[in-house]
Amino acid sequence: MNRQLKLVENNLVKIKDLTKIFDSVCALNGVSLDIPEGRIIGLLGPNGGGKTTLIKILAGFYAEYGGCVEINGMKPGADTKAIVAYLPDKSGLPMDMKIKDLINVYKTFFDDFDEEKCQRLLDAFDLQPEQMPKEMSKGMIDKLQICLTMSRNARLYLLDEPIGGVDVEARDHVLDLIIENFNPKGTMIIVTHLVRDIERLFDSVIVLQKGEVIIYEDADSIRAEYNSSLEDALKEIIKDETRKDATRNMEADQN
Amino acid sequence: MDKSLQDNMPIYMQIMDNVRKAIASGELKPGMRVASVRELAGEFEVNPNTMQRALNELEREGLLISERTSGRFVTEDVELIRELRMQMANEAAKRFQKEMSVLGYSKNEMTDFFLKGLDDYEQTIEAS
Repeated sequence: MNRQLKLVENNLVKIKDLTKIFDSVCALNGVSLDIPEGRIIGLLGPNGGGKTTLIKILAGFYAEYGGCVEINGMKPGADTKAIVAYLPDKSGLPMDMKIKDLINVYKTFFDDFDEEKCQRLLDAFDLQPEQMPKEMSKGMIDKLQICLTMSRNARLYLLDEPIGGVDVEARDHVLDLIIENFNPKGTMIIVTHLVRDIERLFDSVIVLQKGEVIIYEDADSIRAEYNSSLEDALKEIIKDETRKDATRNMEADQN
Repeated sequence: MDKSLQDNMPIYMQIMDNVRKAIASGELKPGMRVASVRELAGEFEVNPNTMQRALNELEREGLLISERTSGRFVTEDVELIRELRMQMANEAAKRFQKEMSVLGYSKNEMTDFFLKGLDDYEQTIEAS
């Protein structure tokens, strides 16, 4: 009965002392995180906290930063593209390519692209192979981007606001997709401000504020500790942190 | 099985509670095979790790039994299920008593309310 096997967790993502400065603004300030495989993690926090910067570094967009970042032992970049599926907050798809041609591009670029699955998802979202992004609404383009990204069998999914742009009905589809794509060898990092809609999918959450990690904890532990939903607990946590910050600044001014 | 969940309590505990109820009520019968973690996670719309945790805890309580190759089953220990059902009934009765005494009702009044509630319930069942 008491056969509890404690598996050693493999960290898919290792981040140590990560710092990123844009001109004079410090977007990330000494972030250290170990993220195991087989997780769905909410990356949360106020605007300007550093969420998208962190995602973009993991996606291999910025080569210049301080500290050390590894995905499955590799520095983010050309080497990691094959195992990282990135859903940007603003779609960068070419506007004048038909969906069926975009599928071919994805097939060529990514060995892990599952065409059948993509077709199924496009059907579910009512998107036609002959359509082009320039003829589509913003919400439809977001859906297309989700179909393409989630049709990959990646190790690391980086989803920046996956449900922000789509209508309420499509949200359920996206949530189901996230559960469906979950695999014990992979991990999903999801940035969202719609915490309430998606919070049941997170096993843990990271909160970034002013470029620093203020919390990295199991979601159910936070619910138990605060006796509230993640969304409400986060409001408390961020308020507390802002207050502490203000006190620190005042003390610094007095000295 | 009740799949509704609140966000203000640990999700895995609520799932455990819903599964316990389904076992106690006989909706999940002794020896019945339960769906896979992934299927259940999809139905409850929760993280598969959270579902796994809930099922592991239920195994620890002996209500679910994991067979290495064939999956996960409801216990065939009917005595354990009987105890579970009694315990849950006791808790429900206590909740009723507590709420009623907060409202200032005496023991006899509570009984009347309870029986009247039961009659109304039976009538709605007959009417439907």
